[in-house]
Amino acid sequence: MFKELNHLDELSRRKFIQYSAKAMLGVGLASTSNNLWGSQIIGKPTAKSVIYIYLSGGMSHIDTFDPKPGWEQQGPVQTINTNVAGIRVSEYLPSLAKRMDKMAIIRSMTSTQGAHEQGTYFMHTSYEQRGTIKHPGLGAWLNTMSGKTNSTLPGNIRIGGSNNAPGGAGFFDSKYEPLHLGDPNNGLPYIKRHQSISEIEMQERLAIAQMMDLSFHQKYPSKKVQAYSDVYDEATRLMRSEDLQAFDLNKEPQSVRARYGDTKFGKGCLLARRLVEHGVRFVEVTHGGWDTHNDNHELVSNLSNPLDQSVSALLDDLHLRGLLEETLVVIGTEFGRSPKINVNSGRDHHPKVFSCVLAGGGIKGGQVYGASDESGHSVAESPVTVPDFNATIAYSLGLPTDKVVYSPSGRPFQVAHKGQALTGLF
Amino acid sequence: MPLSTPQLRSFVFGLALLAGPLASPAEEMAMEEMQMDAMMDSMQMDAMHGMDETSIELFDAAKAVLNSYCYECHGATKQKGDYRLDQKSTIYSPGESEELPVVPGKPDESALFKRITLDIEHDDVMPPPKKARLKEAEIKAIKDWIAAGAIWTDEDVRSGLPTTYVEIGDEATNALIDKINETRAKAEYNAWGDNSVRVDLSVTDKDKLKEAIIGLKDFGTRLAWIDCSYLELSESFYKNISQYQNLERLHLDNSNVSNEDLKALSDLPKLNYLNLYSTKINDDGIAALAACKSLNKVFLGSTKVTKAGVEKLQAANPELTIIYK
Repeated sequence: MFKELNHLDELSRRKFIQYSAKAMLGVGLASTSNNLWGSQIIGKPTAKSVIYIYLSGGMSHIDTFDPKPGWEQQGPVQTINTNVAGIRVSEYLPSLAKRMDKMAIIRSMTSTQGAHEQGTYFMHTSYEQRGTIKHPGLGAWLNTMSGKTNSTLPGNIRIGGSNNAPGGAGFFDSKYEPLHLGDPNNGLPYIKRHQSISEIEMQERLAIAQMMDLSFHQKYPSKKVQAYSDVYDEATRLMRSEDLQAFDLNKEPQSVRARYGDTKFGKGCLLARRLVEHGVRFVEVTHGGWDTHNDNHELVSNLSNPLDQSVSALLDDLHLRGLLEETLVVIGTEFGRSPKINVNSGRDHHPKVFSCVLAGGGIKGGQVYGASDESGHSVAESPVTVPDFNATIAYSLGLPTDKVVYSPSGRPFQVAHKGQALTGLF
Repeated sequence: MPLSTPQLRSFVFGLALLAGPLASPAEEMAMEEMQMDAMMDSMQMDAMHGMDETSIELFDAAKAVLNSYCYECHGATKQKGDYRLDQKSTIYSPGESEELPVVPGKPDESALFKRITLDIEHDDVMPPPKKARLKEAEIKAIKDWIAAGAIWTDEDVRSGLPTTYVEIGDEATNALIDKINETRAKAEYNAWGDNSVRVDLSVTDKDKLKEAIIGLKDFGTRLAWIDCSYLELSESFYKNISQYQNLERLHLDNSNVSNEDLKALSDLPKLNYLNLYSTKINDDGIAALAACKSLNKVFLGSTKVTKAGVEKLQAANPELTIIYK
């Protein structure tokens, strides 16, 4: 069978598989259209876009969103009231405490992965890392399932962090790979035509390239080959896009930039807001350094400052602009940190229970979901697995979590790996 | 593979003109991906075979037997005789004795089945004589599984059992969506079961905006959500907006909407969200909103609206949420 298949030429083999899939499973494979199901989304979407604040390294839950004042190893951090009666957070988050009415804290997150790489992979894809397949991240799922909104800007953008962090396009087409911006200050680098080349010259070069490719394309009309020219088309369209100004932070008044703070993370949040405003559907902003094995409290306090300031500014801005309703703001991390303070005054990896936050995008603010026990060591009520958390994000976007999608290797996957959305949060 | 390297090279060279240093890895990747593609496609066939309830039941039964009798020596920790029976990638391949442990569909040619049915005195018998023998029913489980094709359904394949999925939309609306999407406006179903549509006009190609607005008319009462942010729209667009009687959400933020244009909104019986952020609207304009009884949220930040104006509107419509500062 294997050999015979290879002897068929590309097109007919593909067709053959498509027909067999239709016959045996009653489903078609990925169609040739832009996205997998047109815009076949299910359920009432409450959000159109996502700004995912990713705290890489593992945020100490008990020093931030789930403080344990009664616990002997809480360390030198006080708890404060929020603007919602009965909900208290750590003193490191004074501004966010004033915006608690817009946020839902999940205090019963639990992961099975206790190492950074695996944990980050799991948070982003809902699947455990495997050698045999690369799973897509939520941004790629969103863009394949319901399409991008802006015609020229990429639909999936990642600000800060590493270029090859997990949760990219996975087994989907490479065009769903997030566009990575290392430094929000620089906007989108290399997007201007080189000064020594005129517009006409560039057109000519593109035309030559197209001409040379033409016969190859005709002979091998495969998706993989097409993907290469798609990348060029998209890039040239982007070069000419009026929406490029979305990347330019200088377009923001000084007063606004000051509210977000003069940090890389603050600028990342501001850029994320500009991008979402221009129709980019999934933006991830990484805020790193949370791996506080040493001097936990000092580090968490320092890291919380920009988190507190910039996310507060982001929530205010989105709210005022009428965008918070349709933009889900997520604060996620790969795991929490141990309730016990180690010999270096630090806290170690703790996937057993941790906290994440959701705001906007139809989420009812001012609530806490689940709870950890008195020391923040285990889940005390309503455990939320990583797939459950991602299913909740998918639910708010109206993505069908029960829809089975086949990777090119024919293996079935679901947007949040059978996670159950926390519909009570909406 | 139907690809020869020179052909590939010429294609990649075309790209090389622009991409320069990228060409060589790209070439490798293209080759690799195409080979993968072919391989994956045929693997897909395997996976498809494995997806019915019966084969899963057979597999479960056989796996349970393998688990209790075989994995101590032919599993993750030990692979005696170079046979490993706990994973798909090795269960069909020969070990030291060069026998095939499992031949799908043919129990009698499968070393696994042959050996468990050998006489206890036989040199090749499995499990070894000192260990427990398989019971009749257990031998049958292995036989049935092999005979039915020896399908190995791992976790991932199982989750792929077909689930029910209802696709929304209808032909006529699909056609309208396709048509307006050609202008790069973004139209999609709202998908809350009623086949209503939302259209984002703000991302339309600038020179095709007129075309998009003409296309929009055909949606009529199907339209529940329009996004017109950042657009310069004609007076007649605003005047005729009441043709979309089912409109629930309207984004006019950063648009050229004027006080006068807002008057037409009171003819929209279902409008509940109105975004006027960063427009030239002032108190005179929002006075007209008092007549929009269905409205429950309005965004008035960065406009010329004053506190007095907001209070007046609030008094006229106490249920309304006004986001103003």
